[in-house]
Amino acid sequence: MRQLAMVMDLNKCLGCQTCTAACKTQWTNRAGREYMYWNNVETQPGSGYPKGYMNYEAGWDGKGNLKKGEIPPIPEDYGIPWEYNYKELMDGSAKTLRPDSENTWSANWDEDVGDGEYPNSYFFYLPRICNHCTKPACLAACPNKAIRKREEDGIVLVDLKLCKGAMECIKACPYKKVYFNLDIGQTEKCIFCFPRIEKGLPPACAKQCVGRIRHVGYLDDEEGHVYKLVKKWKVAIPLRPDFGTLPNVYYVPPLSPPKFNEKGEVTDEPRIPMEFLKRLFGKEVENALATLKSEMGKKEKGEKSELMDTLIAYKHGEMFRI
Amino acid sequence: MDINRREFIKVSAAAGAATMLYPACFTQSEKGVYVPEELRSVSDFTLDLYKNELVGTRGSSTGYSPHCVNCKGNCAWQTFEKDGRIVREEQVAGYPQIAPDIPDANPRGCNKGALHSQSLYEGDRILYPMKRAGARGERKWKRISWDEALEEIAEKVVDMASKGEFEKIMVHAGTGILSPVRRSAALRFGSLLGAVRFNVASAVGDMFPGATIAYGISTVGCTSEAWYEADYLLLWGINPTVTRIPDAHYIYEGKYRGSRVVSISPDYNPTARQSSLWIPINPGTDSFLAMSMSYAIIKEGLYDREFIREQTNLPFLIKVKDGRFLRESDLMKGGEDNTFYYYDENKEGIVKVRGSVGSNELTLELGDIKPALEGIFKIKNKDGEEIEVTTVFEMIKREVEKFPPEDTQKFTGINPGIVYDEARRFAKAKKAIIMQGYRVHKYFWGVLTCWGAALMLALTGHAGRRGGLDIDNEWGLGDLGLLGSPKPARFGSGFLGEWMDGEMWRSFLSHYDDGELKAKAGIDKKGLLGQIDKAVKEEGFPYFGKPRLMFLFHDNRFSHDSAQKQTEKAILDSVDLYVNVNYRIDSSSSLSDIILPSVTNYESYEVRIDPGYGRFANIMLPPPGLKLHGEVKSEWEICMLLCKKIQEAARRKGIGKIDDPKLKTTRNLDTLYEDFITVGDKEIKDYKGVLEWVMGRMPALQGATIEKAREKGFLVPGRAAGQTSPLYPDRPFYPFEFQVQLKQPYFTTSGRQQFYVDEEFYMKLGFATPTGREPVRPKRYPFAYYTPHTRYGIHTTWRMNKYHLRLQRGEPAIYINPKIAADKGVRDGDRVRVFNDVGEMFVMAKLHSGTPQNAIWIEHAWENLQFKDGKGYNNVVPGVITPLEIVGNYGHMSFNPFWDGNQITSETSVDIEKM
Repeated sequence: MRQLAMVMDLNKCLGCQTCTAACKTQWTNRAGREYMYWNNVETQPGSGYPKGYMNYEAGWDGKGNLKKGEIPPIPEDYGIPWEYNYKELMDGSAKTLRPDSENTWSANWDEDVGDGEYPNSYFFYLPRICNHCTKPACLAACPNKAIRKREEDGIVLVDLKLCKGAMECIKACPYKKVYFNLDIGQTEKCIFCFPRIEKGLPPACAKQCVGRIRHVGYLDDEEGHVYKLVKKWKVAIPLRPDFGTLPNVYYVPPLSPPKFNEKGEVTDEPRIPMEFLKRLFGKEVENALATLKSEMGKKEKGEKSELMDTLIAYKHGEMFRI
Repeated sequence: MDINRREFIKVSAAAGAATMLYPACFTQSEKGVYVPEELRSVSDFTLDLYKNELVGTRGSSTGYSPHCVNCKGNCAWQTFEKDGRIVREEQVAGYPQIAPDIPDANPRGCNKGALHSQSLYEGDRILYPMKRAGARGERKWKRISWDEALEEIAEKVVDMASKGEFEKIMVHAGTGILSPVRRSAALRFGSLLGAVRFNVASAVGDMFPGATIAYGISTVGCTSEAWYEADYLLLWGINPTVTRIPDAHYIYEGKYRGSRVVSISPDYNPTARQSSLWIPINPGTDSFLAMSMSYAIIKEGLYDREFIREQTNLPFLIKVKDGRFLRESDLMKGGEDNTFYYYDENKEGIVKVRGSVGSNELTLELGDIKPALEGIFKIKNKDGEEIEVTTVFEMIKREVEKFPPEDTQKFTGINPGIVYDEARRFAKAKKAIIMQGYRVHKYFWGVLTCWGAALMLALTGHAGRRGGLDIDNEWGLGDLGLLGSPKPARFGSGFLGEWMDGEMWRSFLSHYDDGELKAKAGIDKKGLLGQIDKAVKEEGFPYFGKPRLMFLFHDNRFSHDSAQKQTEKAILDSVDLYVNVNYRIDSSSSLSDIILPSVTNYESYEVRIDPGYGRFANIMLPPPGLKLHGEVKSEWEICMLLCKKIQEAARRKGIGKIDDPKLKTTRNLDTLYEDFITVGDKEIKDYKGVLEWVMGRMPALQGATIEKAREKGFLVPGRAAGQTSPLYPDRPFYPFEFQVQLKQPYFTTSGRQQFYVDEEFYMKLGFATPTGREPVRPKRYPFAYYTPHTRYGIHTTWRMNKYHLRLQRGEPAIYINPKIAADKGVRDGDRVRVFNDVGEMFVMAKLHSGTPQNAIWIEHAWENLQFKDGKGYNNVVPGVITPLEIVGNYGHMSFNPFWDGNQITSETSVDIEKM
């Protein structure tokens, strides 16, 4: 079995939501998917999308059993795809442009908020798609054997011929990246743009990413960026490895500018607390950040660094080996 | 879609009751593989479903398009048409790499571009001509035919023009169409009628007068590739992660390459979070920081003597007694005013400088002259009297001496150690770039901040290939005058036009405190108003009076104008007929008398070349299968048909050519249509024709045709695109290589980078050199209020789009420090009232730890229609004009496209309360 994987570089991520927009028009602006973000970008620290998803008891426990899991309530935690009173605004029957339901939460409600006390505030962006896990909890949980992981590329798909809408996958996925489609009574999720891949086009979120943060390729392709970043340099690591699903989306963890002391002097301490990063990315994050810093140091001195050259990505096309 | 909550809960409950199955075979069967073989295949039903969906979104015909709003992006997109409609867009991502060691520009684009297709068919799209059927702003409309609309407008035009009231007709194309083809229609129409239009950049407050003082022009900047190469990048009052989305990757790729990226901003914004260092600064105090940086550079001897001798006016001689330049007119009767002098250390005497406006030698070459930078010298004037002269550099040193970092900390909040450390790194960098955004000049002292940054760069020799100021590079379009200005037109000052039309002095008088203004600016309210009056009457800033017939093409003045509600009334009360050409309902079209529906991006023909961060010209060609929505028309067709109706009405009434004596021409109503469609020897009746004409006139496009552009969706401009340096095909663009390498003079009176201005008003207020000043926002309200750009719109464009709103909070929100919110009893998501003497607005509170405790801010350019009672983000912003921008008649500081002022919008104080 081969595995397609994606590396997302959180130091280059602009939080611009072009990926979200690209995915939206490619797949989710229609057909009961309107509320879904197969790709979302959330601000961390933050509640994420859907709200508080990391707090559900889901994924695998230490003994190899599936945890109980929960289904996030719609619409409270996903955010309602508001419709607007454009027509009434146009004809003067409405005074103000308003969403059609109370706006108390959205998929990006706490954008740029983060944490810390001014001026030592901090935040970063975390773009997320389905992790197309090696040990997918959704797949294991499905009573109808409707979730499949493809032999040729490891893409995890909900087979809509088999899905009966039991929603066990939604419960089981600790990343909450499977969604219930009310129009068809079945679940749907990110398909890693397999129809695009089959035409030689990278996934929409990756090809259209203007921050150039997404590298796509097979994990065993030693010439590819993905292999170099994940296997060789070990700077790309999965989100919440403790969930036990062995994700195939990897992140280059975020550096941050230094904190100030009470006198307003610059210190050596980065803004984002290491403990927080460890909670998100596991203890490997320390090594990954140390490697990044030391390789950046080489470049600063004018020395060569294969790692930095890979992350810089001189040619957009070379970020993708599909 | 309708997410029925009850229905979902029902489904959830059913799912909860099901027994959870756990396949026993789900174990590690081979190395690293857990999924059993039987679960590795997918039905054709599922595969085909998604494959067919993809085919649907790739369309049956394709076109190309950039998005031609007021954006510094400019990106090649492919558009996909199905059943006559645009269904999706995707970046072309095919730009060639310019050199192997510089990342390519792909896939230029952003979230707005990626969603434009969704706004084409949204409910706020204007599809038919509409006439107001209620009070202005009530938005009660009657649908009318194109003929009815055009005939009513034509009657009004003929009536006014026949009385010679050209000055009372305004035909203004706003920032919604800053591209040569679409813009040309409105310009041409207005020019033929002798109507008024404003300097568009000035009207919205996007001028860089601080740069114009230094360089004589303000289209100064690099391609974004240069950010990658720079060793030191100072992002000052600019948030490129949010506002330069297509280009920002070069900054962070540069950081991986080893550059230092420093961000200066009051709030911890998305750019700050990606920087090597964020310097939090108190709002509006940036001019102090610029002076303290120069202080450190000079104190530590980090300046480049050879560079400043040749490239700046720092060695120019100043008369000690009155602080004025030593001019030829001081030394001989009938001498030139714009000829200046050095003290030559080799000859030990004064010599004329070359390359100034008064010199006939167009070079900066010093030859064997060694201009003194320091010292006091005695010379004889034309009357034989001995006078003392010194250098501009001495004057600068004297001024800089007032701003040691230890002293300015109390204003800026910045630790002096940071200033010294960064000054050293900046000065020693091989290539250093200071980027400043349009925000800088939104402050009262923005001119000083920009001029001061230019001084930092000049002192350290960062120019040409060593870096420089990066604000607003534009590529040369070539001469399109025949198209847009066939006859002399009335080109008005933008900021003064808005100020006068909107009677903004009312809010200026109410908001600012005379004592504070006098103490900090050296001038009181009356004095400033007096100078503004003088600027209009004597200093050459043209103002033609309030319009009675107003055409706005894609201009949203009622959103961007200060003191919104007061301004609306002041402008509209004197307008008889207001025609708005637009593709959507916005803060301005909603107030109009007649709306004419136009095309938007994807539906038109266009070429966009001028924004200078990118180096490619992008083409707009509609997909062949596209059907125009509703009854929308191109701006060219709208203006052409207007001309036709005006001509018919004029002929019917026996009106022919009307004298316009002020502009020494005639306005030929009886041939207006023929005059409109006849461009040189060509007859042009549609946008394709305009595009062909325009492309043929652009030297940078080297004769490329539409067919050539259709191959890839973009064109690669040649060297001629660069205005102060060549645009090399294989390396980043930096400004002023013609000056630094080829020794051509700058565009200033001195012919050099200029850091001394002996204009009377400047001298009186102490602005002869860059200096530092305290903010003048009144202290009686506790919070500074500022309005930076958002990632979800280019100004108001796309702000009402539901896909963008769903990724925010669905309505406008203001950023507040959590401690301040707690003091005010405000929780996240509460609605608050923001107020001051100018007005009020009601918004949601967003608690944000990256916001300082002395400020609150909101992203600018929400539509007024998105706020309760239509009171928008500018309803609390007073009108104000900085004294630095109302001086004219001083060499290069005279009204021209580079010398006009700004609407200052961030010199405001407000308070908030919970609703």
